[in-house]
Order: sequence, then C-alpha cells, then structure tokens
Amino acid sequence: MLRYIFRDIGEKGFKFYFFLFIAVIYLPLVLLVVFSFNDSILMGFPWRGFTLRWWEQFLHNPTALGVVKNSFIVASVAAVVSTALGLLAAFVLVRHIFRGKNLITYSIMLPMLFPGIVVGISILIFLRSVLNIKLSLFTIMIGHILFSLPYVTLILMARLIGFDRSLEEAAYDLGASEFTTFRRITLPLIMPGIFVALFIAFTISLEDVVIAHFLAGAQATIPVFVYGQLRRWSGLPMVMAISAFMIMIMAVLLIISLISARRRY
Amino acid sequence: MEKKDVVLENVTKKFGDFVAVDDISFSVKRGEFFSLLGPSGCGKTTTLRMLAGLEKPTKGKIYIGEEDVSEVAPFERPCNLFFQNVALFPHMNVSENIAFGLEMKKLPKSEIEKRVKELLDVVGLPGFEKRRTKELSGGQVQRIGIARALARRPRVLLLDEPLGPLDLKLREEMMIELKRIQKVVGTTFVYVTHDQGEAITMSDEIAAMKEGRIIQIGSTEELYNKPRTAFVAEFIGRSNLIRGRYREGKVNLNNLNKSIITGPHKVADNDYVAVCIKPERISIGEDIANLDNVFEAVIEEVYFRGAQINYKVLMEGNYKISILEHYKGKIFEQGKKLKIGWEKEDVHLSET
Amino acid sequence: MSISNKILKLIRKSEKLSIGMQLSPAMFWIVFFLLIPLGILVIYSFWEMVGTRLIPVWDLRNYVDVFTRVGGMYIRLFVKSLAMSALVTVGSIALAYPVAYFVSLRIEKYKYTWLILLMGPYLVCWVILVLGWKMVIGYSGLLNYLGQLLGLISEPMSWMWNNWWAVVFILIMGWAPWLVLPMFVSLEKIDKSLLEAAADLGAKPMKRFLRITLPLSSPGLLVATFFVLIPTFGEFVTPALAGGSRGVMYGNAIDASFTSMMAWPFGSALSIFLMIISLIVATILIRIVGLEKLMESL
Ligand SMILES: Nc1ncnc2c1ncn2[C@@H]1O[C@H](COP(=O)(O)OP(=O)(O)OP(=O)(O)O)[C@@H](O)[C@H]1O
Ligand SMILES: [Mg+2]
Repeated sequence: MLRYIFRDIGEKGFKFYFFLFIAVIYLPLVLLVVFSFNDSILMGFPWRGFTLRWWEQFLHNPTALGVVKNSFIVASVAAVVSTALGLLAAFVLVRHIFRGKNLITYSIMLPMLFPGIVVGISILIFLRSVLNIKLSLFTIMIGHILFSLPYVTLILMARLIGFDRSLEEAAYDLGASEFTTFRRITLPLIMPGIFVALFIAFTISLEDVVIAHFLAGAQATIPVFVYGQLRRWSGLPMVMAISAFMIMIMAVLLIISLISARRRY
Repeated sequence: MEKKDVVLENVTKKFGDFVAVDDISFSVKRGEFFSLLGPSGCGKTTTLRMLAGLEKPTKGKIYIGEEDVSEVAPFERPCNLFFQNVALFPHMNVSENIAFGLEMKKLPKSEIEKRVKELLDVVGLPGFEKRRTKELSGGQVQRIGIARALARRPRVLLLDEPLGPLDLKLREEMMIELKRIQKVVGTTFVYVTHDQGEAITMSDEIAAMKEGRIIQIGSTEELYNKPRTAFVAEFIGRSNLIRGRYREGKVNLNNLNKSIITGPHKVADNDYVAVCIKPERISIGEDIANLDNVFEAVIEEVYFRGAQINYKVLMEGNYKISILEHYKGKIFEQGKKLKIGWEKEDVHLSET
Repeated sequence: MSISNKILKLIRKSEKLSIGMQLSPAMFWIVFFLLIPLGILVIYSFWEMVGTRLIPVWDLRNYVDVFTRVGGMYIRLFVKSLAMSALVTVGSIALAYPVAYFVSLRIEKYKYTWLILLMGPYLVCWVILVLGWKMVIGYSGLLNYLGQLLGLISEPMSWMWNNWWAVVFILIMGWAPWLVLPMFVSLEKIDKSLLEAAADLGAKPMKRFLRITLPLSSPGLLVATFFVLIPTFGEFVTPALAGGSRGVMYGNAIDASFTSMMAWPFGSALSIFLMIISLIVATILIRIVGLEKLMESL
C-alpha cells in the first residue's frame, strides 16, 4: 500500500519537476520582455508603470538599428555559405571511400572541439597581424562560417546516410542525367535536412557573442553591442528593449520550427 | 540467325578482391523471357546492374542490341531496371513516378498523360494517378514499379525479383500478369529470381547461377529434365539425388551395396555422379516388383495436399527421398514399411 | 557534345578529381581560417610583444609566465575554471536528465513539440540570458524584491550576484535546456520492453533505473558532457557580466590579453593550455561515443 502511495508521489513529482523546469528556464526571458516596458531608468524591480520609451529609443537609435541589420546580414550569409560548404563535404564523406577520409572528417569537426574563444582569437591574430585585414562584418562571417561548419556537416551527413541511393540510380536508369537527378530527386529529398542546417547555422551566428566579440570591427552585431553596453552595466534600459526584441525573434524561430515539426511528426 | 537483344561476353565483376560475378556469358533473343535463377548472394543483382550501367564490369563486354554499351551511361541505355527494392520516388505521386522517364525524353505533356493512363491500364491499376506512394499496398507498389520501368518502352526490361516480397497467392496472380504484360508489350525481359517456381512458370530460357558463375543455360524443360549438375537438379524441380559411381549402365551407390540401373549414359566409367529422380516419377507401394529399380523404404512424413500427396521416405542406405503421388483415395501411414521404385528412363545423371 | 558535357564526362571519370573539388571549399576554410591561425597562435606563444610590435624571440618565457606571473594566479585560475566547468557539467546534466527521462518515458503525445519548447531558451544568446538572470537573482532582481516585500530580508542578498557561484548557476541554467535533447535521444533508443522485462523479473523501480536505464542512456550523458564541458572551459562572457572580480575565469584572462592588455604572446600561451585540454577531452569523448551518436543528437 505504502509503496503505491510513494510511487504516486514519485509520478506526480516528476510531472511537477518537468513543468517547474520549463517555468524556470523561461522565467528570465519573460521578465526581460515585461521589464522592457517598465517606466524606470533602472533595469529591474520594482515595476513603476508601463512605457514604450525604451522601445522608442531603440527604434529611433540608428546605431541600434544598424546593429540589428548587421546581425541579420551576417547570419544569413554565414548560414548559406556554411550550409553550402557542409553540403558538398557531407556528400563526399558519406558516399565515397578514400584515403585520408577520417583525417578530413576529423578536421572538419575541429572547430567544434575548441572553445569559441580559441577560434576567435586565432582568426583575430591571423587576420590582423598576418593578412593585415581590417575587422568588419566580413571577418565576423568568416568566423561564423567556420564555427557552424561542423554542426552543419554533421546534420547533413546524418541525412545523407539515411538516403536511399537506389532512388538516384532509378532516376539515372529512367534517363535523367547527374544534374537532373540531383535537382529532381536528391535535392527535394534532402531539403528538410538543408533547412535544419540553415536554421542551426543562422541561429549560431545570430546568437554568438564569443567569436564576434573578437572579430567585430566598428560595426557590431546585436550580441556584441549588448555585451558592450552591459560590460559597463550602464543601466541603459534600451538594452532591455533590444534584448526583448531578440527574444521575440527567438520565439518566432521557435514557432516556425514547431510548425514544421508538427508537419513532420 | 535470330536477333539478340542482350549479349554478355566473359563478364566479370569484382568488388575489391571479392568476385561477385565470375566470367559469365549468355545472350537473350529479342522478345524472350529470360531468367537468372540462383540462391541469395550469387550475383544476380550485380549482373542486372551491369546491364543497366549502374555497375562497370571489371572484365568482359556487354552488348544491348548490336551496340557495345561499356561506355554508355545508364541514362543513355535502351533498357530499364525494376529495382529489387522498387525505389519509387517518395516525394512524387504515382503518375509523377511513371511520367518521370517520359519527361526525361521530353515528350509533350498530353502524350505523357496518355501513356501514363495506358500503363496504369496495362498493370491493372487504372485511376491510380493521384495516389501517393505511401498509400499503396505491397502488390500495388510492385506494379507501379513495373509500369515506371516500362514507360520508356525500353528495348530490354530488367526485373530484379519483382515478386519477392509478395505473399504466395498474390505472387501467383502477378506471375500470370507479368507474362501477360510481356506478351502485350513484346519487350525482352531479363528476370532475376531465387524462386524456381517463378522462373519455371514464366521463362522461355533460364540461366542457373551459383556463386557468381552460370552453371547451366537452357530452356525451362531442359533445366527441369536434364540438370547438368546436382546443384541445378536440387534447385529446379527439387529432384531426389542419390550419389554413386557410374559403370556400364549402372550406378553403384556410395552408402549401399546395391546399384541403380540407369541404362547407358554419356558418362565415363568410374565417374562419380548424382542420380536425379523427380519426385513425381517415383512409385510407391507394397507390390511394385516389375520396375527396373526397387528399394525398401519407411515412410517418415506424409503431407496431404489435396490433389497430391507428398511422402518423405527413408530409403535403404539412409537416403531421404521425396515422392509426389496423385491422390486416388488411398494414403499410406507414417512408419509404414513398403517399397519404392522407378524405371531406368526416369533417371538423369548429373555432375555431383 | 557541348563543352560542359565534356567536363562532366571528365569529372565522372575521375572520382579523385570530383572528391577533391567537393571537399576543397570546406577544407580551404578549415585550413585557412583554423589550422593556419592556430599555427600562428602556437608561433606567437614563443614570441614577445613590445607595444604593438611582435618580436620573434623564440623562448619559453610566456609559458613560464603562465605558472609564475602574479604569484601563479593564472595557473590557479586555470584549475579553478576546470573545477567550475566540471561543476557546471554535472549540475546541468543533473537538472536536465529527469526532464529528458520524463519526455521520453512519460509523455506520449507531441514529444517533439515539448522538446523544441525545452530547447527554446538555449536559442537566446548568452548575453541576453545573463541579463535575464540578473532580473531574477541580481540586486534588483525578482528574488531580492520578493524577499524584501515579504519582509524576509532587510537588504538585497549580496551572495547571489557578482561571484563565482552566480556564474556557475547561470551556466547551469543556460546549458540545461540544450542537454535535454542528447539525453532524450539515447533514452528513446532504449527498448521499453527491457524495462518491462526487468519489472517482470522483480526489479524495483530504483534498481531498474540504476541497472538498465542509466547505463543504456550513458551515450547521451557523454554527448551532453561534450556539449557543455568544452565551451565552458573557455567561457568569459558570463563571468564578465555576472562574476564580478571574484568570479573571473580563465577565459577572461585570455580575453584581456588580446583586447585590453595587448599581450598577444602571453595570451597565446594561455590559449594553448586551453586548446590542449579541450582537444584531449573532445578526442576521448568522441572516441567513446563515436561521431554517429553526435550526429543523432543534433
Ligand atoms: N557494392 C558492393 N560491394 C561489395 N560487395 C558487393 C557489392 N554489391 C554486392 N556485393 C556482393 O556481391 C555478391 C552478389 O551480390 P548480389 O546483390 O548480386 O546478389 P543477389 O544474387 O542479387 O542476391 P539476392 O538474391 O540476395 O538479392 C554478394 O555476396 C554481395 O555481398
Ligand atoms: Mg539481389
């Protein structure tokens, strides 16, 4: 009897923990969004009334808006380029057997095996002292492409391993050339994988502060900008508006992936 | 001389050091139903894939029509392959699947639609155009696969175990269907199977394969009645095999101090041979002394199959023998001791 | 035959050529923006910097400095960071494991919806996450506010912010959502009938968990470790924002040598320690779990 009561408590406890976990991990984000409307120049409690001041400041601040634009440019380019590089590499790594394959696989995985800070500073000193290139959005892209390459490649490799090659052979057999086969058969079938890869690479770039911190020049991305503001804890509530904006973007991305997941499962 | 649609000359295929297809040669006449028959892993799929151009022969030449196709890419060959796993395109519906090969030929839309409809009629699935591939039953998948392979009106249709995954009844229906389709379209069929029943039912000619080699090629009847080796005899028609040494119209058995009278054969004296006797040629009963060969036997198992009875008996000398008899209202019981026998004309000698 | 067709034929013929062509963009990126820069990092660690000029002196002074400068502070920081990383790893896995377990074995409908929802906070960048946690545990955060409101405390609890504890806490809370996925993947793999069989053989729930579920889900634990441990070694953002002076980590020392101190060679030497330890850990973990498991968890 006692055993069953305990088990019941255990089951309920599990459920309770699960929902508590979700509540706790979302709590800071919810607070941030809510308090970006707080009519106080201090970031934090107590609540002093509703205002759109900080959002207006943010939306009228050319630097802040420029930073948002930069983030999206960098993330889009990095996502497309790293997915393209990863796709080509994944094809070869999954479909061919050749000497040095393990070595190449391992080296593509390398960026994932170091903390971002090592990747960031090594590119920094290389670009600055050897190539003498000025830091810009372009240098951030270089870092982000490198950093997302292993993730993207792994995702695409997983998709390609599950790909039934006889479908391609059937297409050849029915008179389709290599290119047509790729366009009509291979590409449509691995498209979900490509979307996931783009999504991951885009998010990695959009949210990265570690690498961008070292590789950003005069033009920053959102995380770098926010980091710079917060380092001084200068109490600019506008930062909260930007952060709230980022959280909302995350929410949109999340909803998109929820919808596409619904469709698939 | 008759027109040959497919000719293989000394074709060998190696995967690394492993020889999957070992120096095989055969030819298929125009409009013929040709079967490659052999157990799993004997290289049937590999042979078909070389014909389709998906695999390059390590050695040897392949002709389709009169053309040497070694340098011809798969999408330029006048043959189409039905894949062992069918490989219907999952992101296309039935009509898009069938139309794929026609689109590649750049046929006009109206013509493609017309042909798709025709093909669906041929495979007995009219009105299935808009079905998704996931919504097809096993047998329907196979039929759509056949329709897709037929769409381009290939000179040669290559079929890799198209009936493999089907249950017995559907398989029997589809065999008749396939033969009918072949008559309707008049295409040369190269058919791969490990099922002797399928091969015997449909083929004009059969090549029996084992471990990458062709053991015997011939008409269905030839392979059935005159298997060259014990392997072919066992594989086709499930012959009973009794091994021994041939000498002057007799075979002295290995396990038994007796001999089987075979009459004269083209075999050198003292050669080891396998005596093949078809199950349906053996008589069973208590009083059959007038036959050329008569042995003692004990019935071990009895299978009643309606029109036929299948006895598994243990013959003297520990030979397991299978016998098929027409049911005439009498069944011998398990454990019964009796006699079995056959005429010398019903015996065929194969290499062991 | 057109030229492009001819080229296609040529490529089709030479497998090596096409392998090379497809791999070269990715390999170019790896070699040019990772391997060469890392090589330069190694080289610089033997050099010296005067002002903004790098001088190739080729000696070990930077490495000696790591151990001796400021009374061995850097090497102590290194050890402290390792300990913090280990704590973060254990903590975040411990928090996330029951959640993964719940989703895999208790939830029936919409598993993937819940999973995506669970990953959500990880998609927000660390900087913003830290800011959010400041709203919870900072001086003017939710907890202090509630405490004062209810009269439990008279002034803000200073132990909650600006120390290494705050850093570890935020890192744990930040990583936990992301770790649910790899552990879920390996829990999903467990044949549920095994658990039933064990129950049938009379194993109590706890025993069942320890003897079957936990060992069978260990690949997920290792993948999770891989995901947390390596980035945490090099962490500098969270300590900079939430650690105050007592919460700094090794990453902050590296950051400072490159951004504010202009001590590239010394920073390079510091980084090399970090690089080596991460490579060792990563190689061991990948050896044990294999690339396939890593793939599944993405
Ligand atoms: N790509 C390959 N690499 C290495 N070995 C292969 C390859 N393809 C086939 N083989 C080997 O060649 C042999 C013949 O294979 P094949 O697929 O032709 O057999 P099969 O007669 O079609 O068998 P089944 O009836 O089972 O389909 C097998 O032993 C197989 O393992
Ligand atoms: Mg096969």
